[in-house]
Amino acid sequence: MATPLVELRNICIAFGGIKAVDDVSVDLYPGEVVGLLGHNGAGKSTLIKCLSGAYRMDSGEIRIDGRPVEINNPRDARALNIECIYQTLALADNLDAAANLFLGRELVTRFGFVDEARMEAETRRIMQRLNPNFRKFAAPVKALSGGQRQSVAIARAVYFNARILIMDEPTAALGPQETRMVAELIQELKRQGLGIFLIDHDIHAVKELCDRAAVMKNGQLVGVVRCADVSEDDLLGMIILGKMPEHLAV
Amino acid sequence: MSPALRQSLTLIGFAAVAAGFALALPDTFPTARNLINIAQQSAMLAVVAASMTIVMAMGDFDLSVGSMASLAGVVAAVLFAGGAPVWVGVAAGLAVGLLGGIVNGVLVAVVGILPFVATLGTLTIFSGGAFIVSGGKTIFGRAIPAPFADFARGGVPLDALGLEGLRLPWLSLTAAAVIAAVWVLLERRRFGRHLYATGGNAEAARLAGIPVVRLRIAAFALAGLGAAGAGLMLASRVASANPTQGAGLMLDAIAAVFLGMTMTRSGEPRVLATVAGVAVLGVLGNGLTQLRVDSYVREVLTGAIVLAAVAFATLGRRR
Repeated sequence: MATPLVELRNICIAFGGIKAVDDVSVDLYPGEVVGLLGHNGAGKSTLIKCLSGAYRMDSGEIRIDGRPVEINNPRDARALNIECIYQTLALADNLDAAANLFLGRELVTRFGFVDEARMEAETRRIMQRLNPNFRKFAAPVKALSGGQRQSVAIARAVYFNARILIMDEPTAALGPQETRMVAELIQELKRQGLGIFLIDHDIHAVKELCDRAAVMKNGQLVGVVRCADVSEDDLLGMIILGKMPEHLAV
Repeated sequence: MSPALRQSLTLIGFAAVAAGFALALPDTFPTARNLINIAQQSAMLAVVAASMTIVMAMGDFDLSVGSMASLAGVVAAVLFAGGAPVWVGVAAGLAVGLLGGIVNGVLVAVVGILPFVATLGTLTIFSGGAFIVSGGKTIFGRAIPAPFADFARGGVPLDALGLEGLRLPWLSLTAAAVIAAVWVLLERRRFGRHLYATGGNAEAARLAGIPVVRLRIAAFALAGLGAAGAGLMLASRVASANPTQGAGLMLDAIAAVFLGMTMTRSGEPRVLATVAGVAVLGVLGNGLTQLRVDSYVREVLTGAIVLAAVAFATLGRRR
């Protein structure tokens, strides 16, 4: 089999003596969507924040394309083409869509001045593709609806040619139509060969969108299964009981 | 209240007050000479307020700017008294400001002390330092080199504009240059964009790869530098330095930024709005002085006006 795009190896991270993530290993292949399932506090978000640079792991190893990498902060992650859509969206509410899309990576002119015109044009271009109904380009994002804010956060992750995309509950704040839009986007990005980690509570959505699912409970990995091999009830059992389904148990 | 009304309320009030002064003082208030006078009197405040806008853009405060202005003034004056050339005194004053600002930034961004508490502490330290450096005395007279004192008295002659005998003061031009620099920094550079982003959501800024700690230190360093510059301008203007002469600048600077915030669409600190706030305070001070209103009454009025403006802005934002 080909080299995995991402290998998370034996990741451990503790907060004040509590093991939030305890020796977890998951990998991700190009063009694959891996769902991360588990209750609140199971450690899904914490695990993935080691990959996005938001947290530093205590021990373990991250490999990209088979090579070990150091990810100490969000800048390191971005340099490795890892983009993350956080559950909180991580938007600066006082700035407009373009300013948020290019936050930390502003386009500048030859003289180092912020190039507002080009950033807005680029924002319009990508929004045309992601959310054609988006109109509020000049308003601060706090004036936008949940779905519009979400599309700004998604646009930010997609615009910069991510190879590895992390989506933390991308549809939690969305209506049915916008949720469908995100699902279509995930399919399209998959076809382009991105690897996607999808953190979600919604077993149905994970079953539908993901190739494989990794289930966590109390900081530990219950198991990784192919979504085609399991039922939604099997996944639910893994989440609640912390055990592999019988027909897959070794 | 509609945002447009909220935004213009301060300006409407300002226009009404200015018109009142013009009616009450027709011979001395609405004259070119007096406007230039106001521009000169307000120059120091404009510099402090513009640099205060930098830290307030990211939601922080710097309470130490007034005592830093005093400290920078006496540091320069003591060096002058010891025979140092003008450039050495000025450079030393600015260096003290930069250093003090970096200390503020480290306390806030690295140690993690609330800006209010951290800069209250350094306010006291800088103020005590100014007394120690000056021995508690006012340094004046021959100790202050003539070129340093002449700077504040000089300016660009305006005879060509038909204003015989008037000069656009160097102090005002200096303030204009500082304002322009801060405007470019805040509105046209990535630095300013990152400051506003940090003010809006510091965690989002960090996750976007913005070096928030370094950014905050830099912002406080610039506020300290601006405060020191204003302190030197003040020392030049009165051709002397004493350890308390900058004390009034801090509250007025914060007041000017707040007044400015009532005029911006988003209610955020913006440097040009801050300049408008400085103009309000400058005109008010000038007019009331000319009307022989007691300076204590003036303080009460200034405070009340700032509170009223901010109260209206707050009520206007609430829905």
